[in-house]
Amino acid sequence: MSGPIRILLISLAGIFILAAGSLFVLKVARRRQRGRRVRRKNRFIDMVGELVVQGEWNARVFRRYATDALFREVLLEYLRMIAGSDRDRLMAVTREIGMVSEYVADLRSGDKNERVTAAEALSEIADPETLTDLVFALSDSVPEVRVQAAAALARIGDSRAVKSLLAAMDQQDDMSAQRLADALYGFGSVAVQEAARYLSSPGKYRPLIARTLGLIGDIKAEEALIQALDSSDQSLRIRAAAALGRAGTPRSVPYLLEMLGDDQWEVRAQAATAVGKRLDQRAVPWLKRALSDDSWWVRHNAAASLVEIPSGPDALRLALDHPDPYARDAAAAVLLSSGMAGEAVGDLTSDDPLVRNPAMDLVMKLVRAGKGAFFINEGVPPEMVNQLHHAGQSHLPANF
Amino acid sequence: MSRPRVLIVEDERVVSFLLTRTLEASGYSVTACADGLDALEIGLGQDFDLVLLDQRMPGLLGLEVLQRWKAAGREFPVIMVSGITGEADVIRALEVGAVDYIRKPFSIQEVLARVKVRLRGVAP
Repeated sequence: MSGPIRILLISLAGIFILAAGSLFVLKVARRRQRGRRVRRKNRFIDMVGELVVQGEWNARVFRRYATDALFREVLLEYLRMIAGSDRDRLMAVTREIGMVSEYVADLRSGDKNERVTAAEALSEIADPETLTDLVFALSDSVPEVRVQAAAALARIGDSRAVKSLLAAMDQQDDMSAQRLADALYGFGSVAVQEAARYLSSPGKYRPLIARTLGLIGDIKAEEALIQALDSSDQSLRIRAAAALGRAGTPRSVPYLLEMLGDDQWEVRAQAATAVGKRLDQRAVPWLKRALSDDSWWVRHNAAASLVEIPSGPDALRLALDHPDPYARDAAAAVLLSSGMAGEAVGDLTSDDPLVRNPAMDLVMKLVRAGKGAFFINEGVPPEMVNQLHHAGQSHLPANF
Repeated sequence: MSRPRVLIVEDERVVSFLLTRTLEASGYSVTACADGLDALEIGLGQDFDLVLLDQRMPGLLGLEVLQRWKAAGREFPVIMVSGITGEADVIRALEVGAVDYIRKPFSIQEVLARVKVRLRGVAP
């Protein structure tokens, strides 16, 4: 090997060893730094925990570390994990040592990262005294600040903030609006009155709010949701119909039944499900008609609702003789998935003809509706299924 | 009479510390661990008067630990302590064999009261 090449190779090896060594040293330094951080944090956890358990709420002790970011992180973790009077006291301490006021001031910082950090911290602290500042943050230019402020307001749970939150909805992009709606859900029943009022506004997120009202499930929203069924906005009608499944009473049933005639299949499908949740007998003839709907979803939801309503299962059995094959199929599918067909298999071997014959009749109709494989899987012999497929009711086998 | 023995299975240090110190201050003998597999082993090898069991942990989920203890015939009362607060999750835990379910965030005083109720008749 010639001299220059040798020198080059030695130099390269030297550079490599130097780089590897530096990397190793850096890695060790970082690991030590992480270790030191963990140890310090654990010391803070133990210290704060001890103060909480001992009921030692002297702010002087806390103030000593008040500017330490790690100490603050630990305080926020405790605030996240505990509830009740101890949390109230710890929150009072964070206020007393100036942590809350600092974060409140940071909400107006020109640095967006500072505002995000402040909003996140205030969201954990959820101090009722910061209500006005959090409402102010709902109009921040950074979505994360707005969302954290909304979450904080929900944790505080003061109904006065609901109106501001709803007013901020229309300034959101779709993703932030969804997260604000999640926060609204966090308010629970105290949000219902204002949220119901929003449904009659020109607000662009009315469908989202209707959905949230459904999740809250408070019947105080019923009237507004019934009115929303008349909206020309198809999305709102869909969400309102679905929401009435949880936030409705028997009063909403006639309105939902009318929606089974809506032009949009999604509205009809949601209405079919919602009336099923009301368990109202008046829905049975309407749902029977809906078994012949053009949409598979409407037929399926109508059949699923019939299973829930008293006397609905009888209507489903009768629907197995429906002239419309789609209605027969919807009824058969739900009779299978609801477990009724499985129960009928058990009844086939009953000694009591009053139990056995209706079971045979049901099984035969389901076999003829093309569900023979289900019964074979349930242990009915294939030749028997075949026999049922071809048998008239008067020629049913006496016993399996 | 010896002090009642409580096992705390919790991977979040803040929660573990609070529970441990609160129960120790009330006169209970506490063993703590932060991993589902460790908890399984400890529960199979030692007797406890009560277990406070987190659901989400490294190693094994709380409910899996509980199921395996039950399968092995370990019958100590278990209170689930979890941030998973859905109705179905609570019902599932009770079905598997938990005697109570405490949702996070929790009141320390309430946890202590529930522990005392479960350990009624056992000192302190």
